[in-house]
Amino acid sequence: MKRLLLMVALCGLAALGVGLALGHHPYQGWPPLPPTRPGADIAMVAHPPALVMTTLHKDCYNCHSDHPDLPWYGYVWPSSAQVQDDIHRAGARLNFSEWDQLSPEMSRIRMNQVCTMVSEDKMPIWYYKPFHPEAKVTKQQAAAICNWANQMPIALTTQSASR
Amino acid sequence: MELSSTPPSNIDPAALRARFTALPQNSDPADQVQLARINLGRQLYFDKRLSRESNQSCNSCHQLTNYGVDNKQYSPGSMPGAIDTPRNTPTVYNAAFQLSQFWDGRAVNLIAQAHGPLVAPKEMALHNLQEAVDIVARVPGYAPEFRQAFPGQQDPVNIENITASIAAFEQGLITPSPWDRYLQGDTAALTPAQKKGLKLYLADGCDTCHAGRDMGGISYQRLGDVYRWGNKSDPGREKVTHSATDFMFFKVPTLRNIAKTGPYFHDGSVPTLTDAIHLMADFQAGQTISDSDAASIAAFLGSMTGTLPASYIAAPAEPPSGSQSAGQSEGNKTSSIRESSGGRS
Repeated sequence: MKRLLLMVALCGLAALGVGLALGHHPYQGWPPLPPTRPGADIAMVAHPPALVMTTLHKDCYNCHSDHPDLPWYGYVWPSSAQVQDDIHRAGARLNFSEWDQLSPEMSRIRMNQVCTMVSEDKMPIWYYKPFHPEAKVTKQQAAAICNWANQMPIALTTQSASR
Repeated sequence: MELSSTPPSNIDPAALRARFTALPQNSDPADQVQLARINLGRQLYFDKRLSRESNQSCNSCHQLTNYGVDNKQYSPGSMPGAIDTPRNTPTVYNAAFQLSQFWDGRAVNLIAQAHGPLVAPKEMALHNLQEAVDIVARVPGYAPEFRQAFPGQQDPVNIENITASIAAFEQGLITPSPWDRYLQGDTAALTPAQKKGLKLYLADGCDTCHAGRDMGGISYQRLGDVYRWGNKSDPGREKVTHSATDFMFFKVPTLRNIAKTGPYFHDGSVPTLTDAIHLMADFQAGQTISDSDAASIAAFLGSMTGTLPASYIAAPAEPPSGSQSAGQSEGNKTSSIRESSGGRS
C-alpha cells in the first residue's frame, strides 16, 4: 500500500513538474487555433475606451481570443482537458481577435452580452475564480463595458442599397 | 459567487430587445421618385429577358411567392451545366438588413449583388453587363419608367440604374412575423411551445450568431467552430478575402422564414430543419441536444415565418418588347415561371 501511495505521489510530482515547465510556453491550441489576422482585433476594429480594453485584455482574452495564456494546470492532465475545452468553446462563442467578422449591429449585441455576463458575475467561469482573483471584474469595470456597449451604433434601418 | 456560466434565458420582450430587433412594416415611400424606382425594380426583377435564353429572372430562383427561394439544393440556370462551387439559393426576403450579400459576403450591398447573377455563366448568363443595358434599352416601355425613376438624367438606362432599381424593390421585401409582435410586447404572439423553444434557443447560445433584426446575416462565422465541419470543398469567405484565416467562414444566414426556406446550409445538404438544428448545436455550440429540444427550437423558429407582402410582390405587366426582341417575351406571371436559376450565392 505504501509503495502504491509513493508511486502515485511521484507521478503527481512528475506531472506537476512537467506542467510547470510547460507553463512558460504559449498555448498552441488543440484543435489548432487559427492564425491571427492583423487588424481584426476589437482594439483595432471598434476602438474601445482604455478601461474597457484593459479589462478585456486582463479578464477575457485568456479564453476569448486567439492568444490564450494558459496557467500551469492548463497543461497537466486531467485539468488540461477541461481548460483547453473551455478555451476552445469560448473562442467559438466570442472571440475578440475576430471582431472584423461582425457588423456594427452584431458588435453591439456581443458587447451587450459581455455586459450581461460580467454584470451578473457569470464570467469568468466560477471554477476559475479561486485561482485567478485578479480576473474578477469590478463593478466599475462592468459599468464601463455596459456604458460603452450602450453607446455603440444601433441596427441600421436597411442597407444603404439605394443610395 | 455565480455558479452558472449559462447566458440568461430571460424571455421578457424588453430584455430580448438588447439582442433582437423587430422588423419594420413595409410601406410605400412618400417620395414619388423612390416609388417609381421601386416599381421599375419590380418589373426588372420579374423580367426573364434579362438572361441569355430569356428564360431566367431574379424570381426564377428567388421566388417571391415561395419565401424568396426555390427549395432546391442548387438552382438550375439559364444555361445548362454545372456551376463552379454551387451554393444553395439564399432568400431575398429581409436581405436588406444584412451586412453583405451572398453566402461569402462578396457583395457589399443589394446593388452590388444585383450585378452578379446577370453575368454569372450558369445563372442569367449574359455576356456582359452592357448586354443587360442593351436588352432593357430595346424595350420601349422601359424608357418612360427610367425617366420617371431617375429624373434629370440624360441617359438613365444604364447598369447602375438597373441594379439600383432592383435593389430599391428588394429593400421592401420585408416579412414581419409573430416573433416581431412578441418583441414589441405582445406576449401572446408566441405559443407556449414556441416560448419553450425560445428559452432553449437562448440557453443553447443560438443567439450568439442568430440575433439582431434578421436573426442572422450580421456576422461571418466559421462553419464547424467547435467541431470541424466534414465537407470542406467550399472554402467560403476565403475565396473573397484570399486569406487562409477565412477558410470555411460564411455569412450567418437569416433565420427569418427558415421553416420555409430549406434545404439548409450553403450546400443545401440538409433537408429538414430539425436536422439542421441538431448539426448547429453540435458543430457550432459543441453540445448534443435531444430530439425533443430540437423540435421545440424548430417550433420557435416557426414564429419567424412572416406574412408575404402580397400586393408588393404581385407580378407586374411586362413592358412589351420592341421589334428586335419580339418573340422573346414569355410573360412573367408566377404561374408561368419555368424551373430555372439565378442569384444564388
